[in-house]
Amino acid sequence: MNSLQETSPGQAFSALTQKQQRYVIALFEAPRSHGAMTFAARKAGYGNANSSRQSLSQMAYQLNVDPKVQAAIAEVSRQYITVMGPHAVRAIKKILDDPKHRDFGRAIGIVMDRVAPQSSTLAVKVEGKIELSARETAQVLERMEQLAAKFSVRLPAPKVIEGELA
Amino acid sequence: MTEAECDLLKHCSRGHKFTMVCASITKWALRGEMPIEMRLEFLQHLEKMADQFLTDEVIAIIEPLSKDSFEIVQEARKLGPGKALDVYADKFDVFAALNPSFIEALKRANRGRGYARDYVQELSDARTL
Repeated sequence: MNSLQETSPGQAFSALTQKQQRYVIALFEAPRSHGAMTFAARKAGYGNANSSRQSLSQMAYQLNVDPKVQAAIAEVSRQYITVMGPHAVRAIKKILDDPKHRDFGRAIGIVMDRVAPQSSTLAVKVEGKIELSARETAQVLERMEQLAAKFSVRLPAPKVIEGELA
Repeated sequence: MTEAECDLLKHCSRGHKFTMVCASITKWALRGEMPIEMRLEFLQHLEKMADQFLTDEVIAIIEPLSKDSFEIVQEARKLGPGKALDVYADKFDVFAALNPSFIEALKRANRGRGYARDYVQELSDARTL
């Protein structure tokens, strides 16, 4: 959690009381996922030495349903994932350095997906588009002819490529 | 240029003078190669130039810029867009001498006006006498 503490606290986290802040931090420091909330509540200073696990669990539940605490958890989670980026990269690099590693192939796949992502081709209704474009061109040409005739402008002969107007 | 034609030029507004030159420039430009969109834009410029005096019919009479006129236009352009229009108006007599279609266009434009119609008639009579 040291890496998380090095980052500046966010707006949601700062809005909490110190005790609540300690609770949110402790959630990420819990050794196991099972009983993490009780662990965090105790570490944050909720209850007393004689408080049972059940009462601490109830206190933790009350904290977890608080929208402020939820916002702070989401905020800290984002920060945590961000600071974990370099660790993840180092771990993948370590796997890639060892061709005998059982996840060597998967690591290559993960890296390749991000370096050269697979491109997908989207089918577009080209027929409709061409038809519309041709109609518009015809309208423009017709308008040009009208204007040219109106103002006695002699337009150069249109270019013909393979029997079709350019 | 006859005295009567000089009078025609004298009584034409500056705005109409440079508009006629611009129409001539536009027609000259339309002779060249350009994309369809640009050509349409030039033709639409001609349409915008038309008003009650310089009607479509009058603009149709105006011929594209001659080679000598083009040189004057090029020199005028060096002064900037606003000043160039002043030059077109100031030197309209020169443009008219090089491009007689301006006089023809002015005669046609003046036919629509009551007082001018009589004046043009007088001009024609004077020529026949």
